[in-house]
Amino acid sequence: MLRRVVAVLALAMAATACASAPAPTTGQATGQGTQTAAAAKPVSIKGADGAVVELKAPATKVVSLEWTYTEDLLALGVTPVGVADVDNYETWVTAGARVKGRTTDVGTRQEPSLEKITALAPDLIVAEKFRVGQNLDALKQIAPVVVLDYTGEGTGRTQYAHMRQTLKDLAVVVGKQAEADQVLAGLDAKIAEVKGRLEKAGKAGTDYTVTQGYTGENAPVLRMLADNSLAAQVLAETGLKNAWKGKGDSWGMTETDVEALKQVDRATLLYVASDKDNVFTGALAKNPIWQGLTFVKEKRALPLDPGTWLWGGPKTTEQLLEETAKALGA
Amino acid sequence: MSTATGGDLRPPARSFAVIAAGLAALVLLCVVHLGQGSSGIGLSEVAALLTGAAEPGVSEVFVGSRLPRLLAGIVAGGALGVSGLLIQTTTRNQAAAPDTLGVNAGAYLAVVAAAFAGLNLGALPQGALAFAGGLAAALLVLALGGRDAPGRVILAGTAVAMALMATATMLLMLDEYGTRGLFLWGSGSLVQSDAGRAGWLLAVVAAAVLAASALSRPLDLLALGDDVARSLGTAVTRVRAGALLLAIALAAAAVTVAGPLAFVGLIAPVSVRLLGLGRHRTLIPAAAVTGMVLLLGADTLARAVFDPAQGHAELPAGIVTALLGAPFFVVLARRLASGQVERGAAVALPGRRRLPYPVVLAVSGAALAVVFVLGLRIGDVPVTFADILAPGDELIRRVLALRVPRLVVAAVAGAALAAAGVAVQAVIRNPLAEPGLLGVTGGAGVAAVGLLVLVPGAPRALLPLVAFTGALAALGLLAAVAYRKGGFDPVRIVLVGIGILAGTQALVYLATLKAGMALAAALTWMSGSTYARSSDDLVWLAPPMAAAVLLWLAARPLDLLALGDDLPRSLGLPLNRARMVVLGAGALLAGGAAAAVGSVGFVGLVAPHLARRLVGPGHRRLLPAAMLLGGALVVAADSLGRWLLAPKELPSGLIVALVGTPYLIWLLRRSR
Repeated sequence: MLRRVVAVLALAMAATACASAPAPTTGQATGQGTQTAAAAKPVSIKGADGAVVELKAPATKVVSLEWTYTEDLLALGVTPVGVADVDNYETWVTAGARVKGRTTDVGTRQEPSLEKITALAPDLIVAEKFRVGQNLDALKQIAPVVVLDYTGEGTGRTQYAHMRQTLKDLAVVVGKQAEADQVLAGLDAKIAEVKGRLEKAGKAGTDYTVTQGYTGENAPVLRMLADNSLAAQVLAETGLKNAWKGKGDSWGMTETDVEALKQVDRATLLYVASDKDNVFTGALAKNPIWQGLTFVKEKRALPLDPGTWLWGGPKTTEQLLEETAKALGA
Repeated sequence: MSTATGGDLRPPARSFAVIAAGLAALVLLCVVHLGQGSSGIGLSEVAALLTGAAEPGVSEVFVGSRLPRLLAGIVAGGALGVSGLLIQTTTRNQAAAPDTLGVNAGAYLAVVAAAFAGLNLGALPQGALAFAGGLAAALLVLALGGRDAPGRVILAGTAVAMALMATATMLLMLDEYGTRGLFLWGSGSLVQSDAGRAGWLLAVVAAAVLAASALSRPLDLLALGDDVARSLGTAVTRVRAGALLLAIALAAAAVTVAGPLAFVGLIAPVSVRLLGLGRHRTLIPAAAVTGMVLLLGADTLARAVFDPAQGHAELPAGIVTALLGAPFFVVLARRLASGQVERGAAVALPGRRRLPYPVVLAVSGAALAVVFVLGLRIGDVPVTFADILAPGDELIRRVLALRVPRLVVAAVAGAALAAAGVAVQAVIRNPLAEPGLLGVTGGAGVAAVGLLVLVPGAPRALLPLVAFTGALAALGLLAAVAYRKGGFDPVRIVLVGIGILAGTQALVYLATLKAGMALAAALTWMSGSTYARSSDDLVWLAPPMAAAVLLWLAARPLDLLALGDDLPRSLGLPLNRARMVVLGAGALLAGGAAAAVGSVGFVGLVAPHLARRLVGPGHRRLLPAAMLLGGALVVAADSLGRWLLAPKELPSGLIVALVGTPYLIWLLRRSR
């Protein structure tokens, strides 16, 4: 029954869709590309596995095996020829351009179809470090593979800074540096805008907690985002204050239950839950602890759009900012 | 096994002492348990509720979280304790319990299947469904194993439980979102969203325990043996059936509240008997209290070590009970298994020979060839038979270059698994024995996961080597523990192996919880998959193939092993050494296969059995036929896994388990 535990864990990774569960790393991604105009010049990128990928020209046919990089590429104006786990991407990541019907589904993120990828004949494959243990060699037979690490551990960067750097690195190999600068400028503008709106609405410096909830075992599980998460770091840029002081894992989250909310119930709760499994309006609503929490009594438990992905790239980050501002009435 | 004596009207003081001590421990545990939780609200704050001096909010935490969880522990623990007691009395088997008889797995599969079908049931309908599932599993196992062969029943129960759990996993994988909430539940946990579920089932459990108490006297008599009981006026069949139904209802209630918890239903009744209790009037309450103490103790320990108030993720109580229960079970197995050396764990099998041996070989070989070619044909990219013969197109050539090594690895690994099954079955003398059931593959998993936890930067290429070593180490442990009083009792080997299996599963779970998703790669690799395998992986299958050849050369001693103890010894076979060597070959075969394709179960069970039906029990003929069929089975599983939901892949291990489950049930039905 080891198989069971294993399958169950594999399932956990796919199912909780909170994907982002990478291994610790020591590598780092550094773009060393040339400047934009010279589209035909060689480009290179150093992956989180330490391997340097060199291309004779910026890639145009890209296969993305992880949602975050799918989002990055779309933001840069590159529609990947192949994307892993399209249906769940459409459900869980609603920011940015859509992919369904515009690209080929290459299967799950953990075990993408090598045959399908071969048939697409890509000139670059973008993969997430913690998922490519078993298929990296096989993928390399198909096309050059750049291995990225979402957590940015070992780079000395915060998750937010690492997200920005990853976008720039990817932009180099697809020849879209100008677009990357534009996207990041847009994100900066969004931060400034939301900051202004919050100040105007008198919400600057609000204490908040952001969490994703789902049903686990027999009861709701809450993923509280700690200070080392991208979400908390970007919200800090707008002046909001994260009340959750628990220790985050590599992705910046602490998994806990309803009791833990007692620790932060004077703050404002921002939550994300899928429409099919909304624990906040379902099981929790009937729970005496939930009913007794200050933010519930004072109606400060605020939903964000169910498709707000908390472990994404620039567009999901903008969505998080907008959703937060709207939830806070700014 | 009971030592009940008639005529003594007053229960001995010892019983009172045991129950009183159990209750005292229970009260103490309840108090500590109530003080644990992620809000960090401690015991003193909860205690302040009594004096009315509690801070605002504490009572909500008490009602909304602490009390439901405590109640779940009391209901499930008590139910399992009594359930195990009733099962042990009716089967006169100390190793029998709701988990080792497959009752928990049957109940769990029923619950998962309902969730898969989109049914959202209340506590009682869900309990009824769990009861039906548990009953079906128990009837199957008892029909197969028979009552008077402890080792055989437990082997049948564990094999059935494994198959049912694999089916449940498959359902979970097919429907990632609908049944998601159940996934961690597979190990059993006391987490509750409110007190409703446990409250309803408390009533059910209380009623069942009272009904069982009413049967105390006939149950005491049952322990004296059927004939004695009958002569004293007991309706043996009716009492036994009634007690078993109550036991299954209790186990189903526990599964409904807390999922399939390992070993509680085994340890509680055995402990109270070890403490000298003999009559059911006192055994029933004592087993109930002990079950509660065990389960709440496990939950308290889990939260003391991984304090949720410090931001630790939940460690399911079922993992703790499995970790503590596995060694207990092994020790019990050592005590239990003597006296059946001649019979072994044998299940009678019709060794019908239908076709001449060359024909069988030709047919098996052709089967392998056909599935291999079909495997080249089907997949995510269309390939025609003409393409296979003359791949002209560059894409077709590259796709075939992906398919060929996978299929070759699948074929060789399948052959190795089949040979491993043959080797293990020769020693255990039971066609249900399988390397996976003996914990050999589990040892590979622990080693692989252990490497990644202890040496995070270790290169992935080391994984197969380490897994291989782990498989051999598990076998060494098995041999060391099972060797007793100068010999290897086949029944004891089975039971010790099952204990090792449970322990390795719990360890792997614990390691993954501790190390988080960093282990994802190791775990997918271990899940029994032929995904992305290349010709490099064949290296791991070379030693197993050598072992298979040696086994084939040693076919005659293998045949002798089937004859029990005395005859082979009188023919001059050094029995213990022969058993050790053959088991070692089995571990080499299973370990090599685990290194190449992870833990694929059931091949070592299905292929040898099928081959035995075709060519009879002689090993010289059995081994090649089984290996061909094993290869064909895994090749077919790999192909279907690539094709059914393309571009999604289904792990071959799960597909084999799905084919293996009905086959196993059919096999067990036939073998009576």
